[in-house]
Amino acid sequence: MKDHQCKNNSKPVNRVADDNLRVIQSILHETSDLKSRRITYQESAGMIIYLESIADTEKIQQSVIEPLNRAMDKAQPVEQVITNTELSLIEELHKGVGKLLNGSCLLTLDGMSSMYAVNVTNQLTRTPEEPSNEKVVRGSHEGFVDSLTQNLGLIRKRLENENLVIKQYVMGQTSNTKLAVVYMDDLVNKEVLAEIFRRIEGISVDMAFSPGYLEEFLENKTLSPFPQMLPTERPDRTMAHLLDGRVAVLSEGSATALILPVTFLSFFQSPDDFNSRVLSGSFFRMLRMVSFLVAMTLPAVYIAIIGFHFEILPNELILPVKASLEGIPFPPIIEAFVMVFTIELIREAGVRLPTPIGQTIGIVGGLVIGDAVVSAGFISNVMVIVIAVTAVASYTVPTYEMGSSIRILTFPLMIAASLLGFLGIVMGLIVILLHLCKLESLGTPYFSPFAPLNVSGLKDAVIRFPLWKMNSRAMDALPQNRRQHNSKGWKRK
Amino acid sequence: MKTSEMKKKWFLLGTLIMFIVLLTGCWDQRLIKESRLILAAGLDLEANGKILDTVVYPVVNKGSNAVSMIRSVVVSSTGVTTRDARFNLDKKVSQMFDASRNRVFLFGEKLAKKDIYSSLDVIYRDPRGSVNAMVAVVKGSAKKSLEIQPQDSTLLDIYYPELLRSTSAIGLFEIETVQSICTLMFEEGNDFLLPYLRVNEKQQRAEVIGTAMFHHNKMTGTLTGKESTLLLLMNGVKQDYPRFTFKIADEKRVKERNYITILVNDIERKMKIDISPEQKVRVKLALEMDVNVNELPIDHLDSAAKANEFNKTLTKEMNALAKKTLAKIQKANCDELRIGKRIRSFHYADWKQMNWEKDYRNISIEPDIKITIIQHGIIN
Repeated sequence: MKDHQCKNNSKPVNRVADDNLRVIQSILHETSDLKSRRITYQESAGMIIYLESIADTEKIQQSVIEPLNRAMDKAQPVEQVITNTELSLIEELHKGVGKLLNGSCLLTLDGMSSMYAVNVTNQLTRTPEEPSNEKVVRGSHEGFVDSLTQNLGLIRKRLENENLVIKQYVMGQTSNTKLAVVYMDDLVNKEVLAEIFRRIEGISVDMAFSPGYLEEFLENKTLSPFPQMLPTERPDRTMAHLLDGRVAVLSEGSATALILPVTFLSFFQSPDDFNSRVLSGSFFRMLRMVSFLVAMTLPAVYIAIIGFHFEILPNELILPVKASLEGIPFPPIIEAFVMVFTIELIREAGVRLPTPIGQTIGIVGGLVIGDAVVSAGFISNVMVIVIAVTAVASYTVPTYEMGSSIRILTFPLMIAASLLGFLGIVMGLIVILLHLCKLESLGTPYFSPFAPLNVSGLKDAVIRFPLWKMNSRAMDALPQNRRQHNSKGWKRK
Repeated sequence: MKTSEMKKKWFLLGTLIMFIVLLTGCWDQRLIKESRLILAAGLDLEANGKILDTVVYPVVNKGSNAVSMIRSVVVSSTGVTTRDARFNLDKKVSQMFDASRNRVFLFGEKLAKKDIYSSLDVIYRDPRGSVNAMVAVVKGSAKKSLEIQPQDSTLLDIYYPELLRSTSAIGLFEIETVQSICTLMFEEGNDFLLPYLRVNEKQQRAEVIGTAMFHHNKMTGTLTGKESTLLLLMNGVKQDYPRFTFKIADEKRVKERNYITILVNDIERKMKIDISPEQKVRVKLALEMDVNVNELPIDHLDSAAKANEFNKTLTKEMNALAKKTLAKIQKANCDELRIGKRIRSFHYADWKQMNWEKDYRNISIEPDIKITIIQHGIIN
């Protein structure tokens, strides 16, 4: 682990314990949670200094004070007495402060030109609950928590492999947030890894409170509608991506791991696909692909049809559609915008509110507004159906980020459709497709395996093949080792 | 320096695209709610040679609680051509007409006998033309047929397509659309039939009474329902439920016991064309039918001998009907059986020697129909 960044010129540790306390107090601006306790060890007076808020007093008692008392009369050095696993000798006061902020306590003795730092961090833990925005039906129901060490532990627990490497960084000149980069050393592409390190080291921010915050500093195209890194709160998902040769970035105080580099398709994969049977897994994945297209294009297609090309409607459909549109005061584009805007309002209001009120908003917004707006004759009921289907479809995408990207993309397509009909939609889709093909996630192709085409990669694309058929790893992260071991074994003769 | 230039370029490009989209003024939007959808049209020839165009379009009356009532409105107008008549119509009706969803074209008999292509020409030229609209001929005037109010459906534009489709299923004709008859009107040795309707004003209904035979773009005669069903079978086309009723006995007491109704299950047709060196054409038309007895009050189908007797009677009746039908189509010069097309494809040297316009009437077509009863329903 890298040390805290030191802004001031560091001072050496004093030989008098009281002086050390005073200096540390001044560095920390007389913060109230800085506590100290006087002790005597082998006739030299000393002091234990710790931050009450993050140090565990129980641990101080057990691993520092008690051993010291027991060894009072023996001529043993402090290193042999203290039973804590992490003990370091510190010679500069600022390093000591850094340790203090990490949750260590400092032991300073008169007559010594250095201090001991003992790790007594208070583990404030949350039990690994299932993340509420990435639920699965079958399989693991564990999720990341807000503690970095515990999260790394959750990953280690799943990958008992000597090639799993964790590199820690400290980021944020003010917040000093701990950051961990996790990867499989034998799989990860070294150039991609070097690029990630280069970028992380190059970032200079005051505060780095979550990987989502980091995302913007790491990605190439911030203004692209498509997320280029996959945030996940699921350890099993993280593990699967690590085994594809990808890299996960975790940070202290956040339950989200950032997977990079990723492809467009990763956002449509869910652990459920692999937990359920091949046929149903493939079906649900196809359903999500279809819903992606529906969510993006359905309002635009509808606007194009009723504004330009109603001759493509089947005979039986044309009269109901015409009847529902009769007497609507707005042009289709305004109608669609009003409805989409309403649904986004309901969604935004529902997210922020506590669950019981959120449901009320859903009912009031969905049922009352939807019904009243039609019977008042402001919006046609076909438009309400179209926008409702679009909204539902956009929420089937297993990652929230991609869902919101899709909803944003509907707007330019709707405008294009209202100006030029199907021609406009085609032009809009061409632009989106061009952008997808051109987009890179840390130097790897984003739209793989479609562009560039990788036939064996298609086994895990729109449909998922049986696991024992997937003998080559996904190529989009450019892993070192192409082969992956999946075979039924017993079926071979 | 370079990036600012790039930015400038992109900004210019973006503005240019916005200008192209927003300022050209060629926003060719046509909203469905601002269009009068023509869903059925009828064309007649007036006594003074003008075209009478009658159209049916739906009008939606929106109630207070979003329940809408749809009803059909009929208007007609005259003009020197079809399009001229339509323009005159547009002057009378609010909103713009849109014929791209037209489902049915009805031709008055008078116009059909003169020329149907000239009236359809406008549809072939229009990229949004409703080329998949069905075509039919009405005995009398097409305007009258659009003014009836059948009880089956309040909307005529639903009534007519459904009527034609169901009649086609019992084997009277194959559904022809504006598109499908287009090439047939110009092809040598390949003609077509169109449904032939009659308006029953007392019952406020239209009724298919047979088919109208066409030669090129003119109607040249009519066939009854029975004749057209058989002609279709002789042409090798079997629709879902082709039925025939024949008289097989002459009993006085209960007249109904004199008849048999059969449903054709399966057919096998073979056509052989012999051309002598003097271009004498002999067409042998072998048709085997497997039939299902639908109705036979006198019965006795349990005995094989009796069944064979029925087979013979039916074969005889059917051959007689076939001869009558073939004579009719030859007289009308309607080559529905596509004999001319076959000669053109397989005997081109002879074809060049012939004048099909005249020779068709004089060729000999010999039908040879065999009927076998294979089913008699679930009673014995």
